[in-house]
Amino acid sequence: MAATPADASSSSSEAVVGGEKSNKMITLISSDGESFEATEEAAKMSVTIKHMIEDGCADDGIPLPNVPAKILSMVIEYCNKHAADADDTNKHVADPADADEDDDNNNNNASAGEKEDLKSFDASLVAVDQATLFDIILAANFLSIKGLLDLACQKVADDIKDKSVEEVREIFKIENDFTKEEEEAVRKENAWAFNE
Amino acid sequence: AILLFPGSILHFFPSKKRLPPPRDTEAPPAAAAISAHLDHLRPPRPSPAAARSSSLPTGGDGMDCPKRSASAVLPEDSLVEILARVPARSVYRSKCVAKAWRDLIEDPLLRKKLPQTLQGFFFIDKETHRQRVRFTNLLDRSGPLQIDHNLAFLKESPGIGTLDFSDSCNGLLLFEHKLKAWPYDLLGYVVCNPTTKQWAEVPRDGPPLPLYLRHPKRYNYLVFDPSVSSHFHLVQFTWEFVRLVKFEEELVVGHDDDDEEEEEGDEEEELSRTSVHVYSSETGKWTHTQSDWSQIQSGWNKHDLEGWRLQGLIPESFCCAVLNSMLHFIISDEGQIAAVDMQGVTRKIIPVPTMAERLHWLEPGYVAQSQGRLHYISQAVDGRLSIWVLEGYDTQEWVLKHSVSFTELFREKRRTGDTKDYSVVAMHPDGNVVFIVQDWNRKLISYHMDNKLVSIMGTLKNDASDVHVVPYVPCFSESPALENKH
Repeated sequence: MAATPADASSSSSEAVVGGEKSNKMITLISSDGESFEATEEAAKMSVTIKHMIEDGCADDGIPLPNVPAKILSMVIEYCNKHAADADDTNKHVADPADADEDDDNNNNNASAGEKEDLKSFDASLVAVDQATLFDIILAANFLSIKGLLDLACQKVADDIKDKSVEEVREIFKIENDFTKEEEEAVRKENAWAFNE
Repeated sequence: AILLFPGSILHFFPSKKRLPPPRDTEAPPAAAAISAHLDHLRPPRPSPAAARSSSLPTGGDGMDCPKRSASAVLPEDSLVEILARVPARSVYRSKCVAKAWRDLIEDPLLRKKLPQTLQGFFFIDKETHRQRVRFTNLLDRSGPLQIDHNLAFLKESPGIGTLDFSDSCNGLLLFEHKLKAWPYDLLGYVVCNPTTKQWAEVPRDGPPLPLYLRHPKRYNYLVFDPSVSSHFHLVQFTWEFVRLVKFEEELVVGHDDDDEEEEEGDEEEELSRTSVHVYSSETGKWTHTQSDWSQIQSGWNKHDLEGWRLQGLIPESFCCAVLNSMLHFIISDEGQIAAVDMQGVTRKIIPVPTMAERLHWLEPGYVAQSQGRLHYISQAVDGRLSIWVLEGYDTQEWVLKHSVSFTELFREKRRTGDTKDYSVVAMHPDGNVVFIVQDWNRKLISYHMDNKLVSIMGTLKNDASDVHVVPYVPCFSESPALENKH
């Protein structure tokens, strides 16, 4: 059977035939009006975008009113890098009932060296300030990119796990609404979790 | 702006039916958050009152539902995802951050996503015919407990006879399953999860022993780590002894019923051995490591890791710590801890701390896993309690974490001389807290090492020696290894 490249006239067709992926480019527009291009394969790492493409809404570019340019470029970088092992990952992202996180790491496609490469890429992507990290989480949440959401949430988790209660309040911009007695009671109830 | 949130978020977090879907009122905070790092655009910090009004659940008057705004900078779902990835200690400390956080962490629907910690204790009668089970809850001032506190789901199942408690591990309980009435023949084993109300039967390893034969002593351990696998292992040590009698210049195995036929002066030797049997729920099979009687040694060369079994030594007490998917228990009165993997292979022998001082200790001590490290708790003849932590697992370096005298700990004078009058029953898996049963009044107390606080948890109905006090960390995930469900 002759391999058919993506049919340009049916712009929202999925050209996946026996493993072939379309090289069609998708335009993503940030909240501040900047346009970014990504391959359809990479863009589909976002379940949100994937659905839009399937519903035929992606023809004139996809506006993302909640994602500023700085963050969108990072997100696209992530998707491009991870799209190579997207075969297995996408299947799991598409099936939300399948919460088996082990499979995300079970890249039969990537060699050991490639995995190391991905790991260090991921680490440097999230080695950013707290505010940017939160923005990435918001974007990954909004766009339904499970891998990126996991990565960013894990980084925040690692950052806060040894922080004091007051430091956590500062990070998340929370006001303490306990009275002194109430806070003391909660602290006592959970004394085992504190060092003092 | 059209928000594409709703569908996508609900995809990720299917358990969140109770949480309100993102509403228009949440859009401004999210959008503002994106540019929140630009100071001049940052919205004013929401006061608790404002926060409440902007995030009222669709339940209406808000009287029934907790009022929450757990974070101005992230949606609650993301906050839960973050908390699901921090250690249990951090999660429970975070209850102090704000009321919204406390409510979030205590929400029964969300708790399953968060790391689990010590929930409470099961009290299980040791006496076979009594079989009472109780549960005492340490956490949560509110909400119904999902855990079946007297194991009714299991005991009321048809075909379930007598259950003798053996071991627990990470949310699962292991019982020897016996006939309902005397002579309580061993039918097999039962593994259950009181939180998900699932259970499984494990077949007996081999045919039943006739009553008149001496029963080998059995020590059953359960190894289960849901973060690694949904399957479990049973590691069983059975102790047997034989009499070797001289028969025609050779020592042969004597039979029990040869008793009467022994003549004075016959050469004989009594030897014992401990064999290991492992059941894997994945394969559904038992495997055995039994040593030839000829391999039995009289002394134990500590460098020979399996030597303790060949000498017929046994696990000294019920207590066993699971660390790195390995069982750690004290062997006989040798002052050694064996580290045994899930295949029943002894991988390490760790001497208990300061062997020289052991003379002053009441043995055996207590081993526990806490905060990722092996701990050893010793009780001296004068009642002094000492807690040691194995700082270097490979270097076998013990460090004294805490030591407290009897009077300091219990705030009263000791009534007995040098006999044991309290028992350590658990160490908190996530904190520096030790749980002790006071023999003189049967009270279960918790002792917090860092602030020396003592709290009374409850009172046992019978003597401490009559009941298993089982610390319980719930496991909410359903396992395919437990095929029966109530």
